[in-house]
Amino acid sequence: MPVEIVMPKLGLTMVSGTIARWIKAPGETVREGEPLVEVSTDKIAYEVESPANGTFARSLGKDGDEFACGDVIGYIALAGEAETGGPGPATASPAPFVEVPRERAAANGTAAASATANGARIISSPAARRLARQLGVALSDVRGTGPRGRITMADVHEVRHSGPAHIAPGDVPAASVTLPPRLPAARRAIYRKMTEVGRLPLAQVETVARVDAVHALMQRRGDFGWTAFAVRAVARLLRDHSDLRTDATTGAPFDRIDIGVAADTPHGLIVPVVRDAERRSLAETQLEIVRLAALARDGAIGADDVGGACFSISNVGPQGVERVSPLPDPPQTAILGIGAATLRPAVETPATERLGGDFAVTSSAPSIVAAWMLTCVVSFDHRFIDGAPAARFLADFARACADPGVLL
Amino acid sequence: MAKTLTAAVHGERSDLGIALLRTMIRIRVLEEGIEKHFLAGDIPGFAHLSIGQEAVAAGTCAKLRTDDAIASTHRGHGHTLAKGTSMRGMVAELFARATGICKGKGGSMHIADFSVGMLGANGVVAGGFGLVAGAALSAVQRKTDQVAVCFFGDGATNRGPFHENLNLCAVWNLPAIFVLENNRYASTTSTAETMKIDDVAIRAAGYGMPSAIVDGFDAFAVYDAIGEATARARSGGGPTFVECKTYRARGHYIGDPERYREKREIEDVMTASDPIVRMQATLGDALDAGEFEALWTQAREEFADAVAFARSSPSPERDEAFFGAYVGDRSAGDPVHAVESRERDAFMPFAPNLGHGSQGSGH
Amino acid sequence: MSRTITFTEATLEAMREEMRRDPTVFLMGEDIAKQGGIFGQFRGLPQEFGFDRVRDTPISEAALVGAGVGAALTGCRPVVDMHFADFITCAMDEVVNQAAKLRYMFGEQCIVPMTLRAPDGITKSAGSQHSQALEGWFVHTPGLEVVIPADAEDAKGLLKAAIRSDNPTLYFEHKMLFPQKGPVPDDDDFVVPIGKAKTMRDGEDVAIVTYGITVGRAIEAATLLEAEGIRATVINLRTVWPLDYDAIADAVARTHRVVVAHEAVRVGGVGAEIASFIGEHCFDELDAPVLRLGAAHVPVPFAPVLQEAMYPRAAMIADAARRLVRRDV
Ligand SMILES: Cc1ncc(C[n+]2csc(CCOP(=O)(O)OP(=O)(O)O)c2C)c(N)n1
Ligand SMILES: [Mg+2]
Repeated sequence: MPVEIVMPKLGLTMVSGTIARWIKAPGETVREGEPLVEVSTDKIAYEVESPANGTFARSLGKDGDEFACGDVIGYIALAGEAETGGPGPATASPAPFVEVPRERAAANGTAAASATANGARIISSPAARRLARQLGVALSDVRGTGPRGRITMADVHEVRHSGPAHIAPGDVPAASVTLPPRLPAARRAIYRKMTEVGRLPLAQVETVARVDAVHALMQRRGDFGWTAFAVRAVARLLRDHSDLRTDATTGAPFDRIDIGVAADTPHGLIVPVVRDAERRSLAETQLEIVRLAALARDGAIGADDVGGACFSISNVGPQGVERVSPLPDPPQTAILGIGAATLRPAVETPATERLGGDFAVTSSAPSIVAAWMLTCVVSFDHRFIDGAPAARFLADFARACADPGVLL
Repeated sequence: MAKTLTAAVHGERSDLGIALLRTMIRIRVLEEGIEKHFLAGDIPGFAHLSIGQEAVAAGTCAKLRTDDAIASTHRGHGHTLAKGTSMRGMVAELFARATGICKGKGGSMHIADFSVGMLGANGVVAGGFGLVAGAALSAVQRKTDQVAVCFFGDGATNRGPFHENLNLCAVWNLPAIFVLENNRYASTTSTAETMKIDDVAIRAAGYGMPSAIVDGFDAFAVYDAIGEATARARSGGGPTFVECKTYRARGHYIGDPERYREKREIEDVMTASDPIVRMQATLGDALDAGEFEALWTQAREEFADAVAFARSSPSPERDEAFFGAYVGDRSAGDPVHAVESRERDAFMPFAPNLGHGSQGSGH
Repeated sequence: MSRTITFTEATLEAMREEMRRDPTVFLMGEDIAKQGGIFGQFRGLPQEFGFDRVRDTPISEAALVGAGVGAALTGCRPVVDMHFADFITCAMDEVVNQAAKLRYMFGEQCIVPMTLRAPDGITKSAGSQHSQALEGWFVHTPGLEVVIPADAEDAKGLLKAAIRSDNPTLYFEHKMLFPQKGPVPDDDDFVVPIGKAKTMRDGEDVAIVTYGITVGRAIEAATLLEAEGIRATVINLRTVWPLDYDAIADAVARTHRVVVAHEAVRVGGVGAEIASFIGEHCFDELDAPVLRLGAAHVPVPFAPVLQEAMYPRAAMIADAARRLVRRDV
């Protein structure tokens, strides 16, 4: 049996890939692990390695052709096999009675996902298979931790949290983490992820923002909360602060402004994503967050609503705590943490000037007033982001808090 | 039906009497010892004692050959010992030891010794009838002159298998002997409440089977009646029903509060009819006091030796539980379970209480 | 409001209430009236209801059950005590060929509202013929209902339901449960519906589906597991026929990992039916194989060390659940 070469699924949102370039030509001998074909998506370029030792027998597409993830794009003939291996007009074997249309094979997620690139059957639990289908995760991207490598639900969840194993950030592959034996299943993914994050060179900048204006607006409108405000503000700022949305897997900024929002659920920490946050109004953002939170709480969140964010926000305000220093969620490289907005003493310096007037109003001396304040922390991966751009970003955020009008 | 004491006996008859007495004393010592060790917690499960009924077991089995078969009941210690099972094997079994006659798997209520034709005690009342009919049928099929004896209680005669098997043995003329130990009670229920007749033996007539009613406290009487029955059976004359009128001098089981009868009743019966006292009196001069004492001493030594043997014997290996339900590969019993259970031990973080060493109190 | 009483008292309350409520209810069995039953489970009943409604019988199981069927066909609601569940074997024709089939065969002309009470299960060294759990046979016999209480509440509620049921109902009461205490609702009309399971504990990591005495063992197991951070659901089926398939499917959907446990022999047991139901109908919910625990496929041995090795206890149940959660199986 010739071994299939499959279009890999390189990220949660990837549904198809393009053959950028065949590195080997048909007839060439290949060794397992040797680069065989370069595929690309809108985000990345990736070299697909040969799944077996043998001869590159046949390609099903030429450079520039697009394939659905999981589709067969070529065959490797093993030693002694006809080099034209694989079904199709080029084979010497009689035509099959039923030709399986490619679309159907692709639409059938289970079929597409139930074999690894080297053709071996993937062992997975039925529930893991269903979950992977729901989340759009290819089983071939999941490393099974059950007996004989069986993929369990937790393994699929983990991919959802950390991305496919072969594009995991950092030098430490997810697989090499040894789990404490009594660790509850719900904590396994986060355990692995945080073990990796712990090895990153993280730095932080922090400030306390005056948020009287946001607070007043919130009271007046009543249709948004602090998280929605932060998402909206950050989305606007990230367009310019592209450093803060660096993708650790590519080293370049994420294109889309999708913002992750850390949610505390009965199933542990889940980070649903507000897609295209830039384009949503404050009220729309709020509605989206409410929708996502409900799904996350019920464990009903789907593939479209997690993964792929360029930046995340963690808000511990609902817990009544003033400050949090969160950890970035790789492959994101930065995160904003906000605490509870509270009334705190603030020193007000005399305003010497008011814009828009034709005369200056001068007050007497600095005074202490009760003001609505918000502690904001940005944590970032120093390999990609320096302190100054992070500080600039945070200062802009604080300014937006003081004068939310610019967002609306 | 209580008989007056028979005159002293002589010669061969006295030798037989001493042999019967020895068996009865051994049974009595065994039963009293079991009672003591059960209460002390050495014996788990249930135990039913046959004190007061020793003459039936002794008289019957004295007439049987080793290759004859018996089937017994829940109250089977006496039958087993009288048929020839060693006290060591019995006590070790009751103590749930690997050296027990059934490897510790049967216990008091399910003890058997096929080496002496003892086809088993039975936890199911009337469970023995079919076995005996079959053993008798087998003797016919194999053309031997073996006989098969069924011991059973009055209570068992109200169950269907009694009727079905009596009829079958009668109509097929099988060499079976039905020895009823009518001890007046089935558990807490007196015979008067469960049947309208005084003598169960009349039921045999309904199946065309000859019967005898004997004083079950008199080992000679039992022996003689069984003698006639075995002669009939071995000569192709078919089955016999022997009703032994007897009495259970202990509770139904050890620990029975015995609310269903007066203490006086037990004392009265035993004073008048204790089969051991009865035999001693019958033997008269044929057995002097010293010889009588010696029988007791020997029996007690035998029992003490059996207890020592049981005590020094190991409990069965735990995995023995999973083997032996089928012939052939010993693992055919439940291999999966056995393997799993071994594996389980390896990573079970808390030791389950498996009772290794201590045998628990049991009831 | 509820009171804490023993399982025995709970069954007695059920008998008293049903016998007061319905004069056609009567009780018969060996050594039950004068003696009060081997476990004291009939104590005081003849004093209140007379020896005609609480009858001592000869040792005639086939006759007892046969007469029970006859009485049930003709306007009574007999409760027949089997002494030990093992002795149902002596009345198999009456249970399987008569009680179970008559209504169906006779075109629904009759009902057989008979209750068989059958003390079952492994006790201390009672040996092979006094220790069995035989419910599997009767689940396999169309026409019978089979209920198995796990605690005092079930004992009362299920017995009342069994007596009121118009179907022949087997009520298996584990010998070791009689002295155990538990809360029972005060309500005189408290009945546990036949065919409905009860969730004893909620947890999302694994479900233990069980019934009868094994429910207590499963709860013990769940407590052990909780200390390790594993949260287990415990489903008390209460009725093993008709099975509460919905409750089972729910538990599977919530946990994706299932241990089915009972004291009856595992091979061909009720657990096999449950596991195959899950395999057929909840396939996509499974994240691991269904683990079945039951007694080994051997008769119950006498020696304590052998007996304790061959049926599932709390440690084994916890162990199975742990293996599922840790992905060892
Ligand atoms: C079929 C069956 N029903 C009930 C019992 C419970 N049981 C054990 S011994 C016994 C009484 C037996 O009476 P009997 O046959 O007279 O024998 P005894 O105990 O007097 O020796 C009963 C009811 C049983 N073991 N088997
Ligand atoms: Mg009797």
